[in-house]
Amino acid sequence: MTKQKEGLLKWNLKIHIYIGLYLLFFIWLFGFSGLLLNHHWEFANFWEERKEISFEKAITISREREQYILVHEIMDKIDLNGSIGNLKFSNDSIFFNFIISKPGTRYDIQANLNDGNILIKEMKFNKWGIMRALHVMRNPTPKEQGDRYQSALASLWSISMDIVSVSLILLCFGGWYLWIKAPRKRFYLGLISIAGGLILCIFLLRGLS
Amino acid sequence: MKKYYQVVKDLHFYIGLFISPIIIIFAFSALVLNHDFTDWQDDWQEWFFSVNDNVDKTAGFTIPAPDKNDIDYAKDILNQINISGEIAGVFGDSIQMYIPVTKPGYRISIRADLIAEIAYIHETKTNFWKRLIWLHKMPGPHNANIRGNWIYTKIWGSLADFFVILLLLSSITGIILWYYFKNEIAIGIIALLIGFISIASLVIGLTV
Repeated sequence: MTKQKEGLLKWNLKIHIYIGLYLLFFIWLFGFSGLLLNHHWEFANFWEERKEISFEKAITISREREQYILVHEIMDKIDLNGSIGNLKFSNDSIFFNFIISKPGTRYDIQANLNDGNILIKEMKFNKWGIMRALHVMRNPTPKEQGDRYQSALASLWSISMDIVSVSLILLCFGGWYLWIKAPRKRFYLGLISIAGGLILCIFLLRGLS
Repeated sequence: MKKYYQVVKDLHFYIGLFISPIIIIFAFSALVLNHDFTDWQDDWQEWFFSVNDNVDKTAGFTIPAPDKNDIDYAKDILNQINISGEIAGVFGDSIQMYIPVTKPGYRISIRADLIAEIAYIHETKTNFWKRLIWLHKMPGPHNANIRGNWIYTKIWGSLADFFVILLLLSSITGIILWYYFKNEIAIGIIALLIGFISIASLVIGLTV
């Protein structure tokens, strides 16, 4: 092996170690929360364990009826932070309902657009609920983003998810490079491993579709 | 400790290679889910009942035995009309039954007329991105009481669990291996700390 190739192999190994260590807690969080999402283990019950309170606030609501502008206006006035979802006007357009959520907390909002009365149902979840929410949290769309710090943090979280995803792919490619450069016996045994994983995937993907 | 080095190294090496194809699929689909690459947040209700607007084909069936639960009843009808897939829900009454069925690449909306014993079928093909998303999200947390009613969803779910467990095992063997690379301890600790601080600060910020 030339000195250059040796250097490449050495640096690839170093990068593999550093990326792996950087990702460790992310892998644990996403791996474990992925298992939680796929199963309904009694110990990880979060919905039945939630703590709920309801309260009301009175605000002045402008005549704006574009739903995202309205949501941001209401959120600013009632001073709540989080991701926005399930926006819905009632049939008579008097009530406007939506959900504000962040890991561990969810607010169901019902705004009376006529008198400005806002009914807020707050739900607090346990650590299992937080883990689930972190797993499914995604990048807010431009319309969903506001000037609140939670929007910035949600965007940061989603950037972290991108970094984790790309790094995992790099980690796999780095591993493949180490495998290709491995001694002959390890190479062939590695080939069986990777082919096993690949065949299993292909077989299942074909069966699924 | 040194005598375990080769065993741990082999485990890390072969497990890592074995799970690498599926890790790439999940990592890539996470990127897709994280961004608005495609309009993946569909109106489920709309496609559940899309057979009301479009019918591609019809098929006859005989009414299954009434002693079955809704899912088994729907499965019996699906078997007769030769359609397979994960049943996303069962809606209806004694006159008709709606059975939306999903699998990667397909969405099938079925209306079974229980009086005329005819099933009306509307099939939609989904794109590559939605196929990936299906794989990432199945079986998932929703509709827990009926999810996994198709054998392939069940196998896929178990396999996803298996791969996650192998990934966690691979991360543990990775840490043990790092211990043997004495030259990498210092920078490794820094990488570990940066990772920990990144995740901890974000989680704290997001939950407060």
